[in-house]
Amino acid sequence: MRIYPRKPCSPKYESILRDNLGIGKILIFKRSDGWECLLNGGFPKHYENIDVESRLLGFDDITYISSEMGFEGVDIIVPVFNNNVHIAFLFIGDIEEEGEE
Amino acid sequence: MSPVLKHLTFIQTISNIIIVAIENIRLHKESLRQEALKKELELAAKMQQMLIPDNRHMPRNPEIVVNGFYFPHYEVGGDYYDCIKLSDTKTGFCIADVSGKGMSAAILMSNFQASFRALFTADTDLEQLIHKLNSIVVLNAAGERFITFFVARYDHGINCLSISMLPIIRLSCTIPCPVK
Repeated sequence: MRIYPRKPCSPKYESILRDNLGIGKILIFKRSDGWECLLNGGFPKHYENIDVESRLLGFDDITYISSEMGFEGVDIIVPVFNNNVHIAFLFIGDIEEEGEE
Repeated sequence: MSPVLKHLTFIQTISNIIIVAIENIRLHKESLRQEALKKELELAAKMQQMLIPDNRHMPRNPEIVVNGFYFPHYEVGGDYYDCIKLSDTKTGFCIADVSGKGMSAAILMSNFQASFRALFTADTDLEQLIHKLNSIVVLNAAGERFITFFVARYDHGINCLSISMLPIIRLSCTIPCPVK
């Protein structure tokens, strides 16, 4: 699946996530002046409007998402830090089950 | 095992590098924008300063002494005042303020100053002068800005002060009569 950037993003980064790692769905929230959705490939449009402050700032570790957590289609949430401050969140979904051995 | 699950820490690390890089680019662009804005303000401030007459060039004689003091609240405004010797006995002076700030305000006022100085003579009818200047401002500013303007002419020969858009005020007092 093609990942559609909402804002200019590194093509190489996108390629690593999509082609090398086989991520089917990805959504990235990035902190700048506020929180903004940087990439959305494959997740419903309304996910881009998630209130990051209230719903995601509690994620301090890479977290496997279960169905009762209310993020349908999301397998993993990856928080990204800089100087111990959240600067981004990755939603990962539709991952390839088989990998190289 | 899925490569994604195997490389989650790698994904987190590379994402950190990319996100920080993207943010740095954004901040760099913002800094360039701020720098350009600062340059514009500096240039506008210089233009503004050129609009303000030097006290050394103000009338200073037994009949009339004029001093100006200008201290802008912001670095740049479209402010202007002037005092011009129109004839041996007549002196013109004005105060003007353009709406808005920045380079465009300074340029508009600079243009206004040029028009004012060209049109204001010892015999100009002040009401006509105001109308002409207004037409020029409306044309130049495309109706997006306006200028608040006061103009007057003092004839110390007959002790008469003419003010724009107002009836002529004739000062009745005798020597020396400060203009109020």
